Amino acid sequence: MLGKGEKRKFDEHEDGLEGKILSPSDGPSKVSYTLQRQTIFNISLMKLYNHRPLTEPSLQKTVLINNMLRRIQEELKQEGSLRPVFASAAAAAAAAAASPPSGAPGGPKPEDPKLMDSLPGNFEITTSTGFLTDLTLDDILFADIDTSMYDFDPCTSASGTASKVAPVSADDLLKTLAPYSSQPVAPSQPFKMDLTELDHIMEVLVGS
Amino acid sequence: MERERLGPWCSPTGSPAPLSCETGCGEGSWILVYRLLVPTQVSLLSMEEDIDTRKINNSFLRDHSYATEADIISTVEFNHTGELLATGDKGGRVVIFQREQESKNQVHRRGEYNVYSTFQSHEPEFDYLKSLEIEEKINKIRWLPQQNAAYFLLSTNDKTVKLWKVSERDKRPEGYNLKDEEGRLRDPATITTLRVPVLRPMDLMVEATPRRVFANAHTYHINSISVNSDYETYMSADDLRINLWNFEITNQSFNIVDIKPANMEELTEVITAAEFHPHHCNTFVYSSSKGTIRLCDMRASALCDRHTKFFEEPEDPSNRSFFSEIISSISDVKFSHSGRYIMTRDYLTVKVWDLNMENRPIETYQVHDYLRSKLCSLYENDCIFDKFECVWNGSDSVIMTGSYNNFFRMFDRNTKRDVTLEASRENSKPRAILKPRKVCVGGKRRKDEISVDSLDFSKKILHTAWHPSENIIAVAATNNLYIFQDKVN
Repeated sequence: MLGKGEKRKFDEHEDGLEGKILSPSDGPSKVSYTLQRQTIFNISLMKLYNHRPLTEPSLQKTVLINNMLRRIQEELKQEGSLRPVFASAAAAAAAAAASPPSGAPGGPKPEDPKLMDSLPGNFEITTSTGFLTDLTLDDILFADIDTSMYDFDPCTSASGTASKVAPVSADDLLKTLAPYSSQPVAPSQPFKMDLTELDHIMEVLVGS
Repeated sequence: MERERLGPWCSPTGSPAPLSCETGCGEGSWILVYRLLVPTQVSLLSMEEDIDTRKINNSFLRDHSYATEADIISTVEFNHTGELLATGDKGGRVVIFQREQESKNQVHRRGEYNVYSTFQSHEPEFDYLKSLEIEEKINKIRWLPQQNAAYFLLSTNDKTVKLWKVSERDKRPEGYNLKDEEGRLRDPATITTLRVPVLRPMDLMVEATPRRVFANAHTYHINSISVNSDYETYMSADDLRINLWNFEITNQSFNIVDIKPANMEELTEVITAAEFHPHHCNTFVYSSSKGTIRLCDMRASALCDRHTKFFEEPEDPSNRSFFSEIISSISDVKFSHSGRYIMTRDYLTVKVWDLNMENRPIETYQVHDYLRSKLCSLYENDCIFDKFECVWNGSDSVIMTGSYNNFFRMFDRNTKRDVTLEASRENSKPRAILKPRKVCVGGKRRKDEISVDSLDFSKKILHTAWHPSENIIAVAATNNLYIFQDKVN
């Protein structure tokens, strides 16, 4: 039951996703820490926005998840230079992890920019300001996203590719993993990948 | 016999060592006394035809292979003498069990609990303003001390607290003038004589009647109720506010704590539990989602937003993680019977605090530390938000709390020994001694140990209760209620 639906960690270090948190300043472990932070960020977003309960959701749970998101947002701000590629890949990863179309009909997609501006309804917010009101952060997070691959909405017209509701292919996976390589990648350059990393990833995919 | 195969609570000779307690039961091994299946809605209908509710208990040993969600037990509580045990479930029902009286003929039956009364406490409601359902699930039951022949308890769902009176009726008036024996009205013209009705014995009937309904005082979900030691007032706590009620007054309550910020966006902390001091009627504590406990004195001011004492343990930097805050959120707080200590339960530990020391707990017990490396998965599947309760035994020497896989743990504060036991159908025959369980955290798994990855996280023990003076415990495992007692030679 543990780890259901979660990709196995590919990190070479023993403590990957589940291990102790390393500080962001550790050199080779920064990737692992960043990956973990991003995953938790995505999970938190999904928890807040994909859930349509019949009864009022627990305020305690909502507050704790919000605090988690705020903390991660603070960290991202403090780290200063947010690489746009990292951010867009992160959003793509969020979309890839989104629930299949059968879940939450009418539920908002995580990449919807408007959504990010509002806190969950039971916070009684009437304005659109939410914890992600930082304009630069919004711009960075949602710039340059090609979401046609991940468009799971069954109501959209058949303009996308045949892989619309297919599972994410290995190529897509590689693309999303590109930013986690040791070399920084500029948004305009094609994704580069270390051969060794590619091997490792293929190993994981084949093995699982 | 290899010493290392014995659980930590066994003495080296292999015989079970007693958990130290002053109630005189001695032996430290636990046996299953009774496993009760709380009746499903279906069986409840046929039960109403039975006048003698005590006979019904035999039917509860039928094996229900299905369990509706309404039967999930959501709270368990002994009354002050331990004679009665109340359970509340997700379907809004309360079932009260009564302890079998001691009898010379059936000495071994002492300690068995039979169904005494069942009633529907809360019904589902609909909040039209928010277009949301209000669950009928019973969040908490608290007994009032007995002052006359009737029993009184408070039961609450998310929004409404109710005071129930449970009383016995064993006499019935007979010989009415205007009604005949079946209750039909008699034609006044046929009445030629008058008689005085007399009370005749009847089969025992237990009735529950709602005496007070305390409604419309909570915007947020009620998580705790606590009866004050003055027996005249009680408090109800929701996520952001705590209200003080007088039992006699239902249309008013005093707000004594309010942590709602003016701007809800700034909300980062909620109230998770609250309780009155067992002896000082002016003192209470409440815990928060940030792992803090505040002790308040109602004499200081009408609104107790400023605490008298503030209990918080500094964070251990070596254990920092993304989930530090979430696992520090306190799910339950309980005063010791003596009133000198408070016990708090957070996701991985149980802590005992001395009221006179605010900067750290005096004792910390690891409930299931092997979950520390699994926090991300537990966050994903929401298990990290599970709210486990904790209880003291009558002498405050042993504390108990639940875990996953239907495990529950006991910690002896004096000997520092602990034991893990399991409440499950497969492993428990009546009067069988419970075998201690052990979770293997890595490396070689020994026989009888269970590995962390095999734990069933859907089988969680959130609610337990300990008899006020004896070593009898009630453990709620989903829709099953287990009653265990200390083996007495």
